[in-house]
Amino acid sequence: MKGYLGMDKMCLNLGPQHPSTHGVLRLILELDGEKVLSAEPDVGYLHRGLEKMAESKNYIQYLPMVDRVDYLSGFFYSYAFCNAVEILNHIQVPEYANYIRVMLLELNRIASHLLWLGTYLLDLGAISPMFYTFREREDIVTYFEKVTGQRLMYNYFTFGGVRHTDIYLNEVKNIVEKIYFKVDEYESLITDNPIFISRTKDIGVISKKKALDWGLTGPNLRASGILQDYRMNTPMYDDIEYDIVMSSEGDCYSRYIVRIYEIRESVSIINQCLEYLTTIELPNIECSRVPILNNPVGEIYSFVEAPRGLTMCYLNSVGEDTPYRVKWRTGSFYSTQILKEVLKGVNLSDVMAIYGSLDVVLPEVDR
Amino acid sequence: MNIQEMIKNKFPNVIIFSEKIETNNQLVEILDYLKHTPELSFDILLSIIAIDYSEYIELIYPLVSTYLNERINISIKINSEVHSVIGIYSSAYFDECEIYDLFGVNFIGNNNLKRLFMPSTWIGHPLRKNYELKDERLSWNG
Repeated sequence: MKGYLGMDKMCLNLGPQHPSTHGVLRLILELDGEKVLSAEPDVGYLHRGLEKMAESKNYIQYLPMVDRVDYLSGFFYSYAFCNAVEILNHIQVPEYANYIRVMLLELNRIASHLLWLGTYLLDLGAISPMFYTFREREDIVTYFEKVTGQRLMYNYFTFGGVRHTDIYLNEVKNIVEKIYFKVDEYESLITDNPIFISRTKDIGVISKKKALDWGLTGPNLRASGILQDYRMNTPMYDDIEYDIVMSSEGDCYSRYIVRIYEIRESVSIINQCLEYLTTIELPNIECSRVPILNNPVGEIYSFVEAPRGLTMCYLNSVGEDTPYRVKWRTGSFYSTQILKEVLKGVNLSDVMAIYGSLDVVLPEVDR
Repeated sequence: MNIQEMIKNKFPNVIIFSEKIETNNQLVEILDYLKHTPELSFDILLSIIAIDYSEYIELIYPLVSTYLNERINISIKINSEVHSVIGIYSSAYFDECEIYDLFGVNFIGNNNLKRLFMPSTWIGHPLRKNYELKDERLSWNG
């Protein structure tokens, strides 16, 4: 088996303990010199059986578990599950709770994108952006800790609303004011940086057709020039104005641009939520009671636009107090799969630039 | 004409429910029709959901059309075999491997089926309702 230049082809195992894989992904690469001939993602190192667990726990017992689907954006998964149970049991969520949910979801989106930004630049060899983004992310995570008691696994949303209304709106105001200016600082560091541009521009191009065929969603799909944002179909976002960020090139650079602008959009959404929440008088709830769940027979599809793509929680109830089947559809599962297609023919040095730009979090893949 | 009527006209054998459209043997044809008809263009296969009802396994294919901003679910009831759809949606590959791994469904036409999450030596299919916990054949339970 001789390749180009008459050298033997080489099989390279990247991971599962590679520092740039952000978790435990194993990529089996077939190399000819420095060129990747084929790539095979091997997942399953973090499989915890979250779907099997749901079948033996009742709804309230399963609720803290869903944050663990993705540790960087726990609120989204909690929301997806709560929403599914609310639809099943016809529970109405009060308006103030919806606004609190949107505010926390968007703060979580910023935190998740900031972590991605820092680690992505770290993958490309730039050390300092990591410290900048973690500085701002720390504010958000500290705020989450103050409200929910946890830095990553919040368990704050509950069926029919939120656990309590002690949410320190002033701190949110300070955080988003600060972040709005800090985004400019990141952009001045990164966006026009010639090294960053040469590492990412026209690298890992995913065409519209390919992106749809391989099931990409979220920022990765929007970076390929397709308008698809499930927030448009979420009733919670109806009274809120925001722009959907799109780019048309589909390369690593446009995926960066989409995420950077999404941070700004999230800031604007949070400001609108703050405006509403400061004008009304929040009911003083110290510990909300979970409504009685009848759990009728039914199949529920609950969607949320998570930072890593469209997330679906499928809930099947046969009238028992445990779910009959829960299925999680996550964005990263499909972002990992597309590596098979995108990494064909690229240089080995670009593998991590492409993989990092897709923002994959492995617990979400393995569930 | 709405989407459900269009499918009913083209494939008279389907059964239409409020949330899903059930077919018994024309799965590949329906998905092909939904993806490649320009006025529908259901271009994203979101996932494949498998549910084990003991007598049969139900597979649900949720599709999204970015053109219409619509969603539709196609379902099929099977015993242990179904035709693969990777020829239509490439993204189905991981899903099919996952269902092969956790439910033991064989996808005809997908030649690279492998256990996606469990080790290749694992015995049984964990998400089946008759799955034996603490199976003594697995060395660590013995």
